[in-house]
Amino acid sequence: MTESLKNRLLLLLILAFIATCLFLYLSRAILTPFIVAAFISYLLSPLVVKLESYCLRRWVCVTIIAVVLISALIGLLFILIPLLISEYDKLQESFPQYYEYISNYLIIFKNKLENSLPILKRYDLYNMILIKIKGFVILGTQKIPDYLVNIFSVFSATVLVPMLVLFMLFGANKSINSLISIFPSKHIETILSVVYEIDMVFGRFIRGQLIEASFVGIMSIICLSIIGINFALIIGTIAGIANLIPYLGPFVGLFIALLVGTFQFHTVGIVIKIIVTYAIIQFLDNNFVQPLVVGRNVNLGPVTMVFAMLSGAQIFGFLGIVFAVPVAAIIKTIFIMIVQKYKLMSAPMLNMPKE
Amino acid sequence: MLKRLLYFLFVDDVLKKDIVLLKKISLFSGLSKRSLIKIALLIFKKKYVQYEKIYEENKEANVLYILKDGQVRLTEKKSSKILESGDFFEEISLIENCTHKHDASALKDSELYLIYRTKLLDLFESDNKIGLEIMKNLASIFAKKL
Repeated sequence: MTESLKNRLLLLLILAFIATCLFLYLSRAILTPFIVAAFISYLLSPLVVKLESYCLRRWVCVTIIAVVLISALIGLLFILIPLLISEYDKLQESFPQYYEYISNYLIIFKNKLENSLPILKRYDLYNMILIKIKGFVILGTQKIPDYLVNIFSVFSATVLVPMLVLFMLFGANKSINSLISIFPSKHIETILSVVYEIDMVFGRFIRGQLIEASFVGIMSIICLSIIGINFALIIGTIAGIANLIPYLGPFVGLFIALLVGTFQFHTVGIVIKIIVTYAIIQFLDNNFVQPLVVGRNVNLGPVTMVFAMLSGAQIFGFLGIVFAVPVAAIIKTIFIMIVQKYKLMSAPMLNMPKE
Repeated sequence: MLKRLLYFLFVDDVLKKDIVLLKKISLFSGLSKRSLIKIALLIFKKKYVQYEKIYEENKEANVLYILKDGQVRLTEKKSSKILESGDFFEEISLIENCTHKHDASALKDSELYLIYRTKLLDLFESDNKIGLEIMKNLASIFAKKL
């Protein structure tokens, strides 16, 4: 191939790439279901491989997974939706009561505080805090349904995403392989190492986190309903989702449960019960679930993790926090790979025998 | 007849053929069928056209190559070696992070099975029996070479 022809081809490729990016950007409004479907099918792909190891054809594996998952989902929805709706109604109903309780408590607290620290009288602390809380909680509780509907319009959640997941589970591995094969064969080892290393770090972390989160969520729901706390379902769900955030997450569920528990029972006993429950859940999670699912750690120091999480939150919000750690781990893996490659490349040059 | 139809519908025959190939390879001798399937699922298949370079000397090596069809020539300075289908090469990359010690190119149109080191090591971690068996085979292969 002549040099000019090569350059022209390269230019064409770059132009095609830019055009694709532009196209994707323009059609970004409809991209969400595709991304969600890709993510779900990525999460499910190890299951397909597991079934494939029984020498079944791929479509058989996908069908089995689809049947099992869909029936499980429908069963769960039939149990969960009535419960969630009733809890949501109860929450809206009892919220004014809680609000009154908070404001009474705050008045007492304020009087005590102002007696001991007279300077504070100048600032209207009481109203400031109350307005903040009111705005936050009202906005939060009213926005939950809107938020869910916005992410998933009913059509895309019930029809489009499951269908896309099935198709992707069925054919994505082949398209990815053919995409890898496009690269020139002298780079194949590099490409394979990049793809596989990213897959291993990212997949293991995300799957492990999700399993852990669902464990914590389900355990919280069960334990809180045994203790008899209101809204066990909502609190448990929030605790599970919050558990996706390293370090901070476990405390979110504990905090909400403590709040609701003290409002409900007005005793110290319930506080101790809740704390003990959460300690047990975290103990089980750290000692039995985590070693099983996470396997190899992501090898990031605590400072790096906190920095990654905060910067993720700054750029992308909640999803940023969840995905910050695996993305940081991927960056680290790629960096290590480059360094290793560089070392390997330069080593033989240094040890070259003199001729 | 029905049995054959069901077999055709449900059983992955590509995987079955891969297992037959893997079974003949000395690196995987002594492994059970299920272990062979687990290995077969890690394979990345790649076709090379005639005279295409597979890898060059001094490039990083992290893949085990198994020659399924065709012919491959390994060249180191002046000596060279021709591999036929069913042979495997660069098994050293399974043990340590190293560079290729020779060039490899396809003599005919060939299909190669590539197994990435970290993936295989990962499998060893989850299934120690496979790891032990393959390491034993590797050791005996290296012992015979010396």
